[in-house]
Amino acid sequence: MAFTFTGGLDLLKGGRRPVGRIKTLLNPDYTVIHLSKNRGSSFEPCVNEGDPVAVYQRVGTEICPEGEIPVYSGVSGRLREILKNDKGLFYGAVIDTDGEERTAPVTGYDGALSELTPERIIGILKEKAVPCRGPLRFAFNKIGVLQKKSERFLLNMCESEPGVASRKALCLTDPDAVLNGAKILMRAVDIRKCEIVIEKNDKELLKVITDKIKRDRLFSIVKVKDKYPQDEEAYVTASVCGVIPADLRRPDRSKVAVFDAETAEAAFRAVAYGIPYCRRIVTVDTENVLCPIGTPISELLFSCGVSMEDCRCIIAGGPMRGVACRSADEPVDAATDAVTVIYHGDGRHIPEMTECTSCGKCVSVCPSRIMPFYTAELSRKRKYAKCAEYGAAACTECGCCDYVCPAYVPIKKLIRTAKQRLPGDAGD
Amino acid sequence: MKVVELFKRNLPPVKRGLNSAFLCGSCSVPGVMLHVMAALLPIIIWGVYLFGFRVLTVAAVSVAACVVSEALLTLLLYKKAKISDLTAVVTGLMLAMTLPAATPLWIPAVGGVIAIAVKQLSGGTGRNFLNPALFARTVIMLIFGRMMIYTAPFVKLPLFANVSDGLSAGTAMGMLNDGRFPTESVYELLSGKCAGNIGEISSILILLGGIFLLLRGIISYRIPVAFSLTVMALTYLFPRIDVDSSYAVYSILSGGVLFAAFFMATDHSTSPCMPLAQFAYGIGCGALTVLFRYSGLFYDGAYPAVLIMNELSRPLDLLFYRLFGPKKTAAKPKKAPVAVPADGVTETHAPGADNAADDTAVFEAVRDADTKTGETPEETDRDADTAETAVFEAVREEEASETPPEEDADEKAEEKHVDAVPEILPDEPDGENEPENDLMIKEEPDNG
Repeated sequence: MAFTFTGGLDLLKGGRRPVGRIKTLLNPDYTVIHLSKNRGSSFEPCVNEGDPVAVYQRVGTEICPEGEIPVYSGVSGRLREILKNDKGLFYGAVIDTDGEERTAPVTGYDGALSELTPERIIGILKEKAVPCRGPLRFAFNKIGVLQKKSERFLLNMCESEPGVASRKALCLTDPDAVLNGAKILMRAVDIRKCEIVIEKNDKELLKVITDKIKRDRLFSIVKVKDKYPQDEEAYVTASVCGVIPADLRRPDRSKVAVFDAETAEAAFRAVAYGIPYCRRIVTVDTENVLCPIGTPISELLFSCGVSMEDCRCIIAGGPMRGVACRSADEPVDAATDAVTVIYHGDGRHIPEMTECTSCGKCVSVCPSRIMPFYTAELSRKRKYAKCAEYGAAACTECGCCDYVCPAYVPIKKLIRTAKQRLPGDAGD
Repeated sequence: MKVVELFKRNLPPVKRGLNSAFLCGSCSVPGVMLHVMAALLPIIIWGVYLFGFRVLTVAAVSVAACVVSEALLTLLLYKKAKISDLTAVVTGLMLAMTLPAATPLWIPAVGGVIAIAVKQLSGGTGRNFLNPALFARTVIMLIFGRMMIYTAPFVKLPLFANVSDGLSAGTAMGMLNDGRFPTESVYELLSGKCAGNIGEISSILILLGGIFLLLRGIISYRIPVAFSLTVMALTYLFPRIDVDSSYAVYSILSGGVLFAAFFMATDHSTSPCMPLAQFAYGIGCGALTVLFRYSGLFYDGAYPAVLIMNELSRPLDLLFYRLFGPKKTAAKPKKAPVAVPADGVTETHAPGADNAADDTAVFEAVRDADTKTGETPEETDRDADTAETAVFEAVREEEASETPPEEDADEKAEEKHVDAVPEILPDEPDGENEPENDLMIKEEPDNG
């Protein structure tokens, strides 16, 4: 029997798309470091305009509520411009690529894992800017919250959004790095048993991982039902442990440490080779591309042979959680797992919104068990304080409510608005 | 090259609604209504077989009255007329189902007008707190109760002319109300070879239609099951006439209990959607039905019972949400804040202890503004974003007037961060008024 959570949608009826060879796009024309998406962040450059920059070289510091996080370049080239807003605050930089692939020297740790102290691991992860999904943003931050307070360690290998396969591609191509990274993270949070969460219909991945962990008593596999949004941290916890964590900023309250496969892989590279986080795999339309962080989406589409004239809309992210790009040159960031293209004449045209009929379909599919239509209605009337009362902060913006709504009300958008304006700043 | 030019490769415009999830299911409001009509179709066909084509006349008059009054009323109330979502048609059909075939034809016409009037005046499609068809039926029952003429099956009825009183026959429900035992057998009541309202006569066809709706996911099993089981249990425990245990079976098969349970009480806008609230709602409907039947004012207690429970549906939802919903999250920042002087003048906005006082002040201001703008009539925010932006402007103005200048700067800096790519976008005519993180693309003359 597979574990699962209440609510959610079965969106993978057509089966999973096989993961082909991963393309690499290591030399886009330019990359953009853009930090203004992160609330409360600003950029402090340590390289001047016009200076040469190498791969893995530090170009500046992100100053954010989490602390001072270094920012690295994923390409070699020249720093073209430091971006500044009209108040004089720096928020990013543009790096032109020269294609030489000069690499800054990096040194990894080559001792035994048992001699690494958790504090040292946290230090390395912070220095190498290893991110994690969710409001805590960085792996070191999450470990700091979880250290000595968690009882279970889950490695999340679920990929449930239709059309997104970047995590699966990563786990299939480099399972050793992911598993070793998990060992490092386990050492950091001081747990000696790792449960790998995989969807039960993902046969290909299950086979690879089962082969890999055969002789390793540290790992075990937990099969969960194929359901959207199984790949989110909250619902991994809900499926396996039966509790929905009330606040993703405090994972220690549910005593479960959930780490994504991407985080584990990045942690392994950071600790073993000293490589900072500056590249990721992105699913572009139907292909998976390894590209530096900051690659403009237009370059990604060009490398996959998608013509801009054919696109009706480009979405940064999958079709359920993604956000429409205003411009094709928006950069890829650590949270961009996919770029979805909606072509002209595509069947996925969403009709005009009509009045909500309170049919309750959104309530029955909502995985965080709130009342989406009611919260959306309150948000439309701008009663944001009341929205908080009805659990707007618990919403994880999975978009299930939008999917089932027969009146096509943009429920997710309305709740997101409410979350951003919640008194007490519970939103992210 | 300036940075602004980097971001100038514009995309084709995207419709605003797209900024939620980009996939959508196959379900739509007209689709739901078509399902309901499909579930009603066998019942209508059975009615035509029993009472002749006058059934179709009654249904046509009722639907026409609903559609016409919907069109006229939306015009009068300055709303967008949405005949195409088929809600008015279904209301008309539902009303016709609760009337006998031999009723004078002006009754469905008047009923249709009453139904749509109550729907539009209590908020329009989806916001009405009363089931319009049920309300109209109850008004008809109270005012024109004597116009309800029930005829025996297979009696030839004229298509349009009024039916004389001489043809009227007793119904099972009427006999139960009089304290007598119905003459029909259980088999006759199940298959529907008896007198009664068009929609109520064949219990089997009602069950079939209900199961169809259940399987298609239009309704949930909870309300109908709780409703009918409550009626059965109460009539079994407290029978009005002491015959045998079959009184409970008769009381559920005669009258409108099954039709009300599957088609009326499950109406989307007037029934609760939390699972436990649905059980409570169904039980309430059943209990009130039995109470009204025994107290004997109405011909059938099921419809007024549902009508009364309609008002309780939203409060029940909220009550059960509060009792069993997710626990409220204490929205506290995880760490002490890091207020970082970014360029010596402004501070990046980080919530927490250091500037907690400032924060509360700002939020107080926002809350005040919210309560003030919350008083704007619903009609203004019902429709479009023009009104929305206008009110947001108002909120911002109030914030500006109430907060000291540094905080104002803070607030604006925060909004900058909320917007995804605000600084580098080409000028948009009214994009700056949009407070959401959503990225929307406005139409621009030179695309490509």
